[in-house]
Amino acid sequence: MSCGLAPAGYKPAFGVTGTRRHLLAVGAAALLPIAAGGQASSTADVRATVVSSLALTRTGTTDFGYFENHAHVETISPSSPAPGQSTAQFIASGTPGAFVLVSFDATVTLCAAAVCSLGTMTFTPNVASSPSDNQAGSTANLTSGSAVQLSASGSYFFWLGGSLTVNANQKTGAYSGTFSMSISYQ
Amino acid sequence: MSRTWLLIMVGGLVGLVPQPSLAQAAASATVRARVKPAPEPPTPPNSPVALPPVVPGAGREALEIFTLDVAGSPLMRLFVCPSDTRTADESRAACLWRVGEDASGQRSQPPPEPQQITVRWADFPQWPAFLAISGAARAGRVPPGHYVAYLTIIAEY
Repeated sequence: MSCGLAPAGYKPAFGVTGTRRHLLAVGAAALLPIAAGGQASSTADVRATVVSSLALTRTGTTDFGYFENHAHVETISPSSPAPGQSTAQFIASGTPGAFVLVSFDATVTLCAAAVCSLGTMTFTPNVASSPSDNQAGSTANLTSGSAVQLSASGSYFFWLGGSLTVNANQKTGAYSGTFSMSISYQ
Repeated sequence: MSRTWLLIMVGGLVGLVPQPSLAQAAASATVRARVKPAPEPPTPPNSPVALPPVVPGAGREALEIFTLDVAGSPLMRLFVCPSDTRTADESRAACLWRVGEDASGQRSQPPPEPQQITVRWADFPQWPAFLAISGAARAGRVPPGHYVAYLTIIAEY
């Protein structure tokens, strides 16, 4: 093999010999211009959209307050909670105008005193959403898996309300559970 | 192995470690609720009282801490019966009662403290929709007073 870089009989001073020298020669040959008999070319567009990293923050707690233990369904309106109730707020931030998918738990089990064997209730979330920080003007009944478009400032707002199924003679005391929400670029 | 190769290998391994994606995010919130007892229905002395409905279920059901206030009533017997078969007939197995009588059926003195009453209800395949509670007095046996009975009704089947 001769490519002009390693003449016959050349003994490199840094001790590369034999097979290793041949590999160097092949690698170097790949760098040389090739005089081809025919040429063809084509192009392909490579596109990419650079997006900001997504963030989802939460403030507050969804709290039903006090209610009695007869069989009924207790509710919190996510856009207008009643006095004594509160709603947690989630804020998504990312690239302005981008669409993000919103996913959250279908139900959450609330446990008495954090010990589920003492008593449970089932919480069904109702999430209201808005591109602006305006709870009263938000739209309830957001479906998990749906997409929303971040505002011009790159934000979107969610409020967590929902309903709680209370059984007859539900054990009295404090109940709690954890609701999870996640977002991703569409 | 030279230090250079070692650094290259370490660099390659670091590149293989999954990094959290910047294209998704998650957060969670606590959901809280506090359950308090429903207000108890008024219980005029010596009159039947309808309890809240009891949901039938397999196994063992319990309805706890139902307070029966028998103010001014010299309560001697307390009857707990299904509302559709309510009767003062003590012979009915369906009606269970308790007053603090001794084995002879005599009662020496009124209960000094609120009484915990446990009624076991094993004769029914399921709970009746309502129970009725009534008190009966024996004249001259117990002085008038204010008595409170805490009921624990247990169904076993």
